[in-house]
Amino acid sequence: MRIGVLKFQVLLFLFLSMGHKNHAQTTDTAKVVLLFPDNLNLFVNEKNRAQLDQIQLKDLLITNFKLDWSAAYGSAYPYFSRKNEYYYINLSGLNYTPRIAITNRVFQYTPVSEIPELARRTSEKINIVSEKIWSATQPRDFRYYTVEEKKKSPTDPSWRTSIKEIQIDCDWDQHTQSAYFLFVELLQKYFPGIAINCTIRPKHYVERRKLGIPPVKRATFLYENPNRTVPELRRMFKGKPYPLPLDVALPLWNWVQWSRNEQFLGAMHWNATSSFDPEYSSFGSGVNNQFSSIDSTGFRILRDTVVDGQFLLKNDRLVKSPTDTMAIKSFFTTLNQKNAVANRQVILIDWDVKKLKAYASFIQNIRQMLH
Amino acid sequence: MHPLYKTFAKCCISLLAIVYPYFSVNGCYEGNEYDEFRIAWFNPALEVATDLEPFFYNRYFSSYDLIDLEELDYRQNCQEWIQYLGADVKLEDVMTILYRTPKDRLLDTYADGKLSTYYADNSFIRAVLRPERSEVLDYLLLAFKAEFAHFSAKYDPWEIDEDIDYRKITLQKVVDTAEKKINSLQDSFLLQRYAYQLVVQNRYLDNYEDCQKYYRQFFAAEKKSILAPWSMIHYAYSLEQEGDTAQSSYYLSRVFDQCSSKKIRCSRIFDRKHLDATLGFAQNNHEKAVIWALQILNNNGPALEEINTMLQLDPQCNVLPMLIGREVNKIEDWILTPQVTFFSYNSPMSQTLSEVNSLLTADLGYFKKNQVKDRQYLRSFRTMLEQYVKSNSDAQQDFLHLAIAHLYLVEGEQAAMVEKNLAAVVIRSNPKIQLQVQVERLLNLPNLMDLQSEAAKTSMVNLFTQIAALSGNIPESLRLYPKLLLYFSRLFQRKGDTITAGLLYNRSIVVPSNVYQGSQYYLPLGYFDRYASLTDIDQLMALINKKDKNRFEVFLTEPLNNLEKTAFRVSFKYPFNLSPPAPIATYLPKDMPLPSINQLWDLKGMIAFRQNNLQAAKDAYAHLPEDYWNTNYAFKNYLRQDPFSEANLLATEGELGEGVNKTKVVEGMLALQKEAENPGSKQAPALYLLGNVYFNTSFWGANWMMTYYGKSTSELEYTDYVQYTLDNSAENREAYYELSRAIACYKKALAAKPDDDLATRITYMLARCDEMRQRAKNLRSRIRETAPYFSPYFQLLKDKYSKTLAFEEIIATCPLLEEHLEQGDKR
Repeated sequence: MRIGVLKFQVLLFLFLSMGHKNHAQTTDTAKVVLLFPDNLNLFVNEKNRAQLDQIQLKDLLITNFKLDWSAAYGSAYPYFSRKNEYYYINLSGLNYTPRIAITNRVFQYTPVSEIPELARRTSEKINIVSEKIWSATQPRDFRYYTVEEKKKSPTDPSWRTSIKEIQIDCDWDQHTQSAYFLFVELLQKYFPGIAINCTIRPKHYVERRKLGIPPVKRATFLYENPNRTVPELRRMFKGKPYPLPLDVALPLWNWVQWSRNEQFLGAMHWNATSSFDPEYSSFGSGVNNQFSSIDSTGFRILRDTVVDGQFLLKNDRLVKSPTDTMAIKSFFTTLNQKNAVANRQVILIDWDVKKLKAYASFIQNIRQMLH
Repeated sequence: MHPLYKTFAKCCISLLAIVYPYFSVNGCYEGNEYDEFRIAWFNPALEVATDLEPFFYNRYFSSYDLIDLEELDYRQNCQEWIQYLGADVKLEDVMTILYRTPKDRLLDTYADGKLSTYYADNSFIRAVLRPERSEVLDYLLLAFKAEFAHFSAKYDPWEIDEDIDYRKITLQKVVDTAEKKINSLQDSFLLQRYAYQLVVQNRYLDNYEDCQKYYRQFFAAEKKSILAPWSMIHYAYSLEQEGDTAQSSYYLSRVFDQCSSKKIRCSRIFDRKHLDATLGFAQNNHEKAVIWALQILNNNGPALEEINTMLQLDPQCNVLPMLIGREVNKIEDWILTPQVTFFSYNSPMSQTLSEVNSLLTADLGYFKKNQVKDRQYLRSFRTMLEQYVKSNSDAQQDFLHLAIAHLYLVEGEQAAMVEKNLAAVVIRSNPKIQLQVQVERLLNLPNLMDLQSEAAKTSMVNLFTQIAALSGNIPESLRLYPKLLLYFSRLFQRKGDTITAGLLYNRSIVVPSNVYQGSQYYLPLGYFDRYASLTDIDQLMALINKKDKNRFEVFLTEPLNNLEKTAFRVSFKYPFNLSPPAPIATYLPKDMPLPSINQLWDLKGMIAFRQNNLQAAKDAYAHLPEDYWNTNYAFKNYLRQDPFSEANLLATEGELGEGVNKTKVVEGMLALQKEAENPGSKQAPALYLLGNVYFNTSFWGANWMMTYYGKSTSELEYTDYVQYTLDNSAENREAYYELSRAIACYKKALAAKPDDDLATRITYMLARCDEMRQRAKNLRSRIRETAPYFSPYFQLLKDKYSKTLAFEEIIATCPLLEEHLEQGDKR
């Protein structure tokens, strides 16, 4: 009996201490991370930077490039490659995590035999772009270097020592699962010491048996459509917790509802479409005339086009929807109740530079919700 | 007196304030295309095939993008597809897929199996998706890949491997596939398409031998398909690469002759150095004529001999009307432009207003010399056309007669010959010909009757009305209508009819004409300010107030129509090869062409004031309300200072002084004039004050706007641009810039025995005026001063009056004077 009680006490202690340890870990590393806007027209000016500092946002997730498959090239190809240091001129001193967005079509059309080559090329591209962005985000050194000095200094590999994670975003399905997972495994080998973090969407969370668990140590729960009701959330998280520690990514400012003939087709990232947003047209995007504003929240597609790997057809409608902060609160409450995610970090996607200040106090709330 | 730097700062600010409206109202010639000031009354599009429009005479080769040449060929290609696929395929649907949709998009959609869904309404896609047409679809997908590789692809889409050339890899795949297909396919249409791919892609893969082989095999004998000239340009290129420039140029001339979209490209890469060798390849006279045409296409100099050769070789050559029209446009530009807009090939023809005036009578030296040469060329060219018309009854008679008539008009004093040629024009239903006939009639009018006669005026109105209605038939950028108005303004000016000339000038205000145009207030006044007499102003006011105006008077005075209001277009080159419509000039005053009656009273007063006719000025100003100068134009800023006070260079601060308006200034001057006439104690002070007014209302004084409406630093110099020089007579120049009236008054005042204090002040002002006069003279005659001029009156001031109270006062207010006087000592 005593042994039984002791056993119980030991078990209870272990359970509590594990829980305590878990909680302590969360508190130590919990942070709010900003996903840098994907809209090439957006630029973080000095005022925006001051606002970031004011609300103590120090971590940035920046899309290095996106991958799609092209029938014209007959292979996967990167696009939206950020190479111009000009975009990061006001980001020095911030922590940077690279992100690669890959369309499901890449794994749909790339033969398994070509996946190793795809992983090799992707790793090389990550090296090139990350190095540039990382250098740009380092505190400025305004020293004048002579040509000889430049030649002597070897390529600085320091981005690899200061970056701990690379995020891969892909909405894989049952058919592409094996190719994608193979790709992730191979990619990880090119980056020893840096963790690959895969995004999962609600369907990946719920249908994990069918869709599989990515072969990584940590994943990010991408909550693209944040305006779900509490019962919906409870249904989503009713099962066992996901077998990987999960971060959370959610659109704090806006998200885009994509519909055709009044039928909802899915959620889109506002930042991917914001260059067509009439409110942002003053940034001089030459493609604005493909869209026409029809009301204050939405726009109608005037010509077939591709946005973020999605085929948009003429007359499709994109509605920019502000995210309901109450819905986000209930989301976190449900998460905490269901102990569904690790709450280590929250990634705020679709950053609306113009509205950063307005959301300062809510971002503070999110920090508190993490603990 | 203000310290010098303050005065300088005020000068700069004030001058900016004056110059600024000049920029904002677009009165500047810079930034306008050459067409804006070129005279082109012979319609270059009269009888010309639309795909030759890019070669019209212009300063810039091929700057007329009036028509999308590629579209013409694309449509022909689409028609060939329709002929092959069946009449139920719509032309626009083929255009959408072949030319308006990105090729990677189509390939992706096909790969996703969504072509039929996404293009459900497209008859072309529906036709090629039929199972029995799988070969057609295969060809299209291959062609799309090739096109993507050419126009959109990167060498290495990953940009990590410098050795990869995706473009070449793709093109090689296209060639490999096409080679297999031409050996297996029976379908002649597809066979030809694959052969076309082989010609094009082999050229870009530098396989010139294969390119030539496939061209000779499949296209050398092809006459109908647009693919024939399209492949021929690649054939020509490959010949050039192998060093056979002359044969290459020959084939380029064939491509030029056979299709629209490659015309500009061919004319640009055609080698003009090997003419004889190129002509050696020509199979017949027509081909030779086309080679001659390419030889002179972008030559803006005389091309009579080459055109004559073409006429001998192939009078029916379709490039000839364009080249003849181009030649007529050149001649009228050389002869007429300098006299109408005062420009010559985008440079102002004149440097002063007097030169502009002498242009009107063609009395300017170098202009006269050029005119003799150009007229000689005109006659040779016209004679050639006349001989040709006589000997070829099947030539384009109407077009040629109009060209000949126009040349007679440009030559001048050939009314009968103009009429004779106009009478020979047969087909009047073509609106372009109708327009040209009316233009020639209008231009011939001054040769037939006295322009000032009622009959001439009625005919003028009728012809202008008809031309306005037909003006859509000539390229808009040539501004036919307002330039004709400007020309008639010049004609009336030569006849001394300032009112008609001025109103016609105001109606053509949108044509840059190398004179100062100024702000909204000044625009309708400018012409009359330069040319009108006091009587003219009275007559103009009477015309404006006239109730029952005749038709000509209504024509002169009615509000501007849209042709007269169309603004300058800064650039008519626009993306997508289309010119944007020119905007309506928003800077024009709403009552244009008429100034208001009050504006005219003020102008009349000002002209009288310039003439020193103070009584007439007073009478004119009496018609204006007291606050007129406080509420209109920029008067209040440049009439601030009390004009009777001792000269303060620029007073720009504070409100307009209470009794200082133009009427009161003139009344004061009249009173002073009276006092100055009678010897006595009041004579010297009166003359001194009068001198002050003349100084203050001069170019140098703070109240210069009593005399002119605008001011600029470059006025003093002998400038390249007439718009800055507002003076209209030597007498005005002396009074305004060289202070003759002020100096005369001060001298008389000094002679009228003033007391020492007043004599000090008078001497001081005389000294200043003397130095300013010298500066104005030097600047105008471009004399660079080695040392600043020191007036003897300053020496007098120092020697004779340095002990007076007034001298102390002057020194106290102008600390720099002491230094200046010391400089005089050093000489």
